[in-house]
Amino acid sequence: MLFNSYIFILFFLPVALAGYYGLNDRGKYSLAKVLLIGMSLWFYAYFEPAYLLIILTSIFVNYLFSKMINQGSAVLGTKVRKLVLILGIVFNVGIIFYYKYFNFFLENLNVLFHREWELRNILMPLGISFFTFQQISYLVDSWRGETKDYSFVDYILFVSFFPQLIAGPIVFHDEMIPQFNDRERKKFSHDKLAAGLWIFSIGLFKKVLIADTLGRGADYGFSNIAALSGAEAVLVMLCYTLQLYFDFSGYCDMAIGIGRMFQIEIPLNFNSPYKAISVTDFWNRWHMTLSRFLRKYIYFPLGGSRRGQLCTIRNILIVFLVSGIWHGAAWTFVLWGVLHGLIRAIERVLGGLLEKVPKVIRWLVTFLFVNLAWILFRAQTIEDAILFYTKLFTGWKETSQGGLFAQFHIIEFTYIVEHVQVLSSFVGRYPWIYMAIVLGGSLLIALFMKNCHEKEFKLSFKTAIATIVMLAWSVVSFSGISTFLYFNF
Amino acid sequence: MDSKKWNLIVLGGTGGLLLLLAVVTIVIDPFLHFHKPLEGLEYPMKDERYLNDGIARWFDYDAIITGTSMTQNFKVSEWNEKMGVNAIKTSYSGASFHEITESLRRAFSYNPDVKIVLCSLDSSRIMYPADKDEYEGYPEYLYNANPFDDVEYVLNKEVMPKTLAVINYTRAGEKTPSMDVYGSWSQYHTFGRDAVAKTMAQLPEISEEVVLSEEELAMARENVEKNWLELVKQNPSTEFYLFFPPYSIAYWDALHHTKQMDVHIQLELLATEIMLQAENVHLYAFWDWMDVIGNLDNYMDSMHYSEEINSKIIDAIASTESELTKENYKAYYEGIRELYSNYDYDAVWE
Repeated sequence: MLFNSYIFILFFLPVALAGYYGLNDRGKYSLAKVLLIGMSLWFYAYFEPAYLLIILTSIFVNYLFSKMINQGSAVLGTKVRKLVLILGIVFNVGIIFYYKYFNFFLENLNVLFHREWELRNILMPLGISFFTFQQISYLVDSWRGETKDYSFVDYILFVSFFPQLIAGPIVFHDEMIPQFNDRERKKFSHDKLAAGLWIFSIGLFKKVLIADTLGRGADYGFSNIAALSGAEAVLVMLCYTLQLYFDFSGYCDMAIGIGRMFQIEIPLNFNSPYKAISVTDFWNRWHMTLSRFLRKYIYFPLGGSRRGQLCTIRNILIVFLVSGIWHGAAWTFVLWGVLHGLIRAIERVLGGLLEKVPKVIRWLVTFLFVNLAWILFRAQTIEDAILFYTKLFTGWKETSQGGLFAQFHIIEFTYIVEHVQVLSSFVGRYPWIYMAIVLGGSLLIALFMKNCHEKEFKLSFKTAIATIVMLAWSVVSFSGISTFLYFNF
Repeated sequence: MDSKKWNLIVLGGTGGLLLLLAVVTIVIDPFLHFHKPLEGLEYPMKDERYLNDGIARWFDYDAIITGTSMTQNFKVSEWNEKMGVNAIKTSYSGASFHEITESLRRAFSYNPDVKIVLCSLDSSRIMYPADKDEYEGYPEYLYNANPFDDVEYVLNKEVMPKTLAVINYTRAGEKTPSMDVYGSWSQYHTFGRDAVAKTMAQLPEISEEVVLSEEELAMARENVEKNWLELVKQNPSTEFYLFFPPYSIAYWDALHHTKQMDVHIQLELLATEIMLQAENVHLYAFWDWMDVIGNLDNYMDSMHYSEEINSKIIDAIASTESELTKENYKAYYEGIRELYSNYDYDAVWE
C-alpha cells in the first residue's frame, strides 16, 4: 500500500489510528501493538502477499539470532556468539543479494566469462534494503550489548511499523522501541494529531502534486534522450533532481507525520539538501538516516578518520561504494556512489582551503555536481548516461521538439487556460510556460524556503485551510483520465 | 486556536469537501457509471472508453454496433431501419479483439436479450496475443464489479471538468448526441489522395516475401478462437454480423511493397475458417469493391474510410451481399489474391 492512495488515506489510516488509541484507551496496550503489527503486515502484503513470507522469515530468523547473541553470552561463549553474528549478517546479506543483486551478478559473470547463464525472474520485495539494513544494525547492536531484552512483539513492530517500512527512514531500535513502550504516548493527543496531519499533508502534496508532475518531464526526457536538445537536457536534469527530492522527502514527511499521529517520533531524513555548500554538507542533509547508518556500521568499524588521511579516504570510498550498491543493482549506481565518494574525499583533503571560496560558488559547484551525478542515478545504462551528458554539452544547436513541454499540460493549467481567452493565446506563444511554473516554483521551494521541520507549526485558521487544500487536492489527484491516443485506428 | 478545533476543521473540511465532490459526481455522473443520463441534463458524450460501459448498462437496446474506429461512423438509425432493431454504438478506437469481446461480454451480462451484434473484425488485429489490450491506464474501475474502486471515479480531479462540462453543455442549449453521431469523426477529417499520401510512412525495401512462423499463426488462431469463437458460441441466440473493414488501395500498396500481401490473406483466411464454424456468425468481406477501395477520395488515410462507406457496408450486410460462406470463401480469396497481385499500384499515386 502506498501512503498516496485512496485506501490508505480514506480507510487504512483512520482505522489504524482509531483502533490503536481505542485499545490503548481501554488499557489493552499489548493488543494495540498487535493491531499495529497486523495493520503493518497488511500494509506490506497489499503490494504482493508472497512478500509477507519473506519479511516474516527475515524478522523471525533475525530475532532468533539476536536472542542467541544477546542471551548466549553466559551460555555460548564469545566465539559462538561471534559466529552467530557472522551467520546473521550473512543471512541478511544473502537475502538482499539474492533478491536485489543476483541477476546483476549473473549478468556480469556472463560478460566476464562469455557465458549465457539465464537470468532468473526474481521479484524484489519492496523495502528489502530498508528492513535488511535495519536488522543488520540490530544484530550488531546485540553483539555490542546495546540491545535490551525486547519481546518478539516489540521487535516485529520495530521492523514492520508501517510508516517507515517501505522507504525508511532507517530507524534504530533504541529510538523506536522505548517509544512503543512509553505509556505517555499511548493517550490520544490532539496536539500530536494536528502536528502529524500538517506534516503528512505537506509530504503528500510534495509527492503527488510536485514530484509526480516533475516526474512526467523526467520520464519523458530519459526515455527520449536521443531527441533532446541541450537546453531540454538541462531542464530534464533539473526535473529529475527536483523530482527525486520532492518524492523521497515528501514520502519521509508523510512517514514522520503518520508517526507523529501515533506519537512515535521518526527521525528526520532530509534537511533542505539542495542548499548544501559541499558534497559533505549534502550528505549531512540527504537521506540522513542512511548516512548515519553507514557511519555507525561501516565507517567507524573501519577506523573512521582515526588512522590517518589515507585510511580515512579509503574508508570514505568504501562507504560510498556500499551506498552506491545499496541504491541499486547496476553499474550506474556503483559509479554514482564512487563519484560522490571521490568528491567527498577531495573535500576532506582540501579541508579548510574550501572555506576560503565564497559560499555561493561552493553552492553552485555542489548543486551542479549533484545534478550531474543524478543523471547516472536515473539512466538505465551507462551508455544512456553518456548520451545524456553528450546532449548536455553538445546539443545546444538542436531545436526543441516540444514533447517535453507537453508533459506539463496538467489539468489544473489546461482547464483554466481553456476558459480564459487571454491566457490561451499567451500559452500558444510560450508553450514552455507550464513547465517554467512547475520547475521554477519547485526550485524556489527547494532552494529558498524553510523546510517544514525548520518552520514552526502554528495552530491557526490559515494552516487549517492550507492543510485541507493540500489533502483534498492530493486525494483527487490519485486518479486521472487517460488520453487514449489514436493509434492510427 | 486549540488543537482539537484545528483537527475538527481540517478533518471536517477535508471530509466535507471530498464528500461534496463525490456526491456531485455521482448525481451528474458524466460517464454514466451509476445511472442513465439524467432528465433535464444534456451530456456531451466524449471519451468513449469511459462511456461505453455505461451505455451498455443503462440504455434500452436489443442490438449492439461495436468494433474499432472502422465502426464509429456507422449511422445507428440506418442499421435499426434495415434490421428492425434498436441498437447502441460502443466503438473503441484501436481496440484489440480482446477488448471488444470483453466489452460485449459485459453488455450481454447487462442485457441478455441482445439479438444482433455488428462489429468490425480488423485484419490488422488478428495477429495479436489473445489477452492483449491496446492501452495503459484503462479505467477498469468503470468496468468491474468492485464498488470500492469507484472512488477513482468519484474523487478524480480530471473527472471534475467532465462533470462541469455536462452542466455547461446543458446551459448552452446543446443536446445529447444521438447514437448516429456518438463517436463519429467523419466530419472532422479531410479525405482524398493528398490526405492519404500525407499519412503514408516511408516503406522499407523488402526483397523476400514475409512468412508467418508457426508461433505467430498459433497466436493468431488463439486470438480469434479465444476471443471471438468462444463468445459467439456462448451466445447462440445472438446473431453476429462481422466484417473485414475495407482498407484502401494505399493499404494494399503498402502490403504489396513490403511483401506482406500473402500474410494478410493468410490471416483473414484463418479468421474466416474459424468464425464460419459458428452457426450464428455472418461474415463479410468487401475487398472486391474496387470503386470504393480504389478511390482514395473515400479515405483519410490508408485505412479509414468516410461515413458514406459505412452506409454502404450496412446496405451490403442487410442484403447479404458480400457474405462469405463455407462454400465461397476459398474462391473469393483466390480472386482477391489475383486482383491485388496484378494491380497497377503506380497508377494510384499518379
